[in-house]
Amino acid sequence: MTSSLPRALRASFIAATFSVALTASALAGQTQEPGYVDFGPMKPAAKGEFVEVNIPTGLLRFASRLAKSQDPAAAELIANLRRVRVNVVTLDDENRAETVARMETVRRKLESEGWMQVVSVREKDGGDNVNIHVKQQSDDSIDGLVVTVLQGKGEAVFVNIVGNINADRIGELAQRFDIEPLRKLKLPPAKS
Amino acid sequence: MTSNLPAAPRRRLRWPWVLALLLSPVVLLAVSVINVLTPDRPAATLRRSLASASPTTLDTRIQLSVGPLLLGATRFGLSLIHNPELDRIRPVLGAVRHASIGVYAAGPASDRTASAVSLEATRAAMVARGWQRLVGVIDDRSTVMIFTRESRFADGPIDLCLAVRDGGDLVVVSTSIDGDRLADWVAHDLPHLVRSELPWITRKPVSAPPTRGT
Repeated sequence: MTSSLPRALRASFIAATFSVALTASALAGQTQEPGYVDFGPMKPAAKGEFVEVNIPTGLLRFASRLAKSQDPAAAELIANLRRVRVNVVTLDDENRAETVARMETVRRKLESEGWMQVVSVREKDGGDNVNIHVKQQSDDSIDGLVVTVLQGKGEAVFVNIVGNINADRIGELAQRFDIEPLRKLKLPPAKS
Repeated sequence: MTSNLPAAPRRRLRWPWVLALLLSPVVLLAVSVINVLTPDRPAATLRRSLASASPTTLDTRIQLSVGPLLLGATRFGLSLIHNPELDRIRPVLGAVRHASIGVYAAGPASDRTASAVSLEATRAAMVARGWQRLVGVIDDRSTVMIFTRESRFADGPIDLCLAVRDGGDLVVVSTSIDGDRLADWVAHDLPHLVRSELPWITRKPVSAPPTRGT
């Protein structure tokens, strides 16, 4: 019994389905790297700044090549990173509730997925509210790091650094990316 | 009488070829001019996406695209000029494979909500074409977006696409750069350029002498 579809069309359909499946799995793999966190869409305020930076693996490797001759230590540090994402959102009455809720959701999600909260800062009188979570790989290295900050002056900051980061290098990372709470961070022993 | 008949078909066959030969330089020139005066595909996608999210139409002020041929000719022309300033930036010119730049009058800046919508819609349009946003910034006056194609970083040229809206002006730039050449220039020539042109960067701060008390 012959098929109703011509053979070439069937082959094309199968190839297309296979390609879509491969692409979907590749994309899923990319976004589900241990250490990667999806902050979701952010809503800008009516005034003030809205910043989104997303540096992928390829660009980090290129930056590492650029830095190699001038600063080999920095080049090695950058080469081990897979992604750096930063969101800075000015808060106003229109987006404050939604952004704060999003930050709380991200923090709860991190803890439910086994991320460890290593820094928690709550300043008085409406000052800064800072959390740092890490996804530990072993006692001396992490897969990812998330910094969430609600600044008293009306700004929310989300930072996600993905990569194989040695604990000794975290201070160096803080220095290079200017992440103040990270400068004196010490990792607890990894849970077995 | 019959001996004249074969000549007619040969005359008819020659005319199309002669016409093609005469017109081909004109056609080539026209195509070249059109390519130079129209944005390349990524820049066109970016401009179209921004235009669709904008309440006003975009009026073109400048539109220029230069490909490998024109850049090569420019580099050749510049190689005949001996100038120390040019010598410093020749490697950078050598690293650029193609570039497209457009400057448009975009009318009054839209409100922040429209800017945010534009930011997201543009990102979606570019992602659908294999681009990824590196940077997206909105502030009270301007919007900046930078896109790249990540898959090209491992080998081959680096593709960048940039849009800046500042008040009523919009600039869209698309370029393709040889990453190896750029990396070499940054590693070897940029430090010398910075030290010679911006000596204050490497100069150590001088502490003020102590003042004598009265």
